[in-house]
Amino acid sequence: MTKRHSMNKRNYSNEDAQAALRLLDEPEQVQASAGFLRNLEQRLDEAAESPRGYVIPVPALGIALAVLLLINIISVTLFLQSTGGTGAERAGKLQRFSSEYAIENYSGYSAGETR
Amino acid sequence: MEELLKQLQAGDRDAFRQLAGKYQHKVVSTCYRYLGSQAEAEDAAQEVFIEVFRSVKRFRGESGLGTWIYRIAVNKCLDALKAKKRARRSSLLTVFMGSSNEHKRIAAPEQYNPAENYELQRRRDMLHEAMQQLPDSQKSALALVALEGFSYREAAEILGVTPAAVEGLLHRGKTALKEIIFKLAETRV
Repeated sequence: MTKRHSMNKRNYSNEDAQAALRLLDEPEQVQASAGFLRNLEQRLDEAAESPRGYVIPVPALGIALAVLLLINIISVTLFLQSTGGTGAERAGKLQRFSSEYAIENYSGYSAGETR
Repeated sequence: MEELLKQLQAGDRDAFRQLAGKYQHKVVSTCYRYLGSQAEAEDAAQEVFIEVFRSVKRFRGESGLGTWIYRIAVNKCLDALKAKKRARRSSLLTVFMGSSNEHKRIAAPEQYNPAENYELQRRRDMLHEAMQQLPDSQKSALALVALEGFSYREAAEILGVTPAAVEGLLHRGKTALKEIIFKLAETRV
């Protein structure tokens, strides 16, 4: 164990344990110190001088993200349409082209011709 | 009280002084039960009052003003405890990485009040150390009912649960705390 760890650990006895539990049954009186209100006034003045930064509310952030997502989807769709259809359509075209190519080159039949 | 609330909502500093004067000891005391040091408790309590001052305009009176203030206090203290835990973790990391930020640590209770009886202080520390190992809900039930003397009904309003739930949390909390405290006494270094 390092020196730091042994310094942080305390040696508690059973007597300490009993006494600590008694503190729970007879709690001590705790009060604010004499300067508490004066310090509070000072901190309040400081807080008034430096207002909190603007916090974006969660619903507004959610709506903004949803709008961005929608714009993204629309622009991707438009792009795909301008370059020859959506992904599914292009995949279909590619499949048809490869089937025809295979039939013409390797089977001895021309495309569209069947046995 | 209604008049005081109106004045507070109008931003009246005198009304705020009156409110802080009325609740200062109870709020500091409540924070002490969570944080275990007078200095940290006063610091947290001041943040509580600043939050009260800032957000009293939004207070609709669904609960009593006092209940609302103690609810803010409980939340602030639980946040402060989480921040302390994070700071401890990161300071451990810097120890492993070869540098120390010991100077940044918050003053220990002994340093804050050196004349205090040593034995009493270590027992307070033991109780505090044990309470930190409880879940937040049990910790709050113990702090509010057993240590601060709030009734089940008052504590229930502050925590937003039923009085029966507070009773259950208190019972489980006390049982767990006893076990933790005796375990701490067993694990001598």
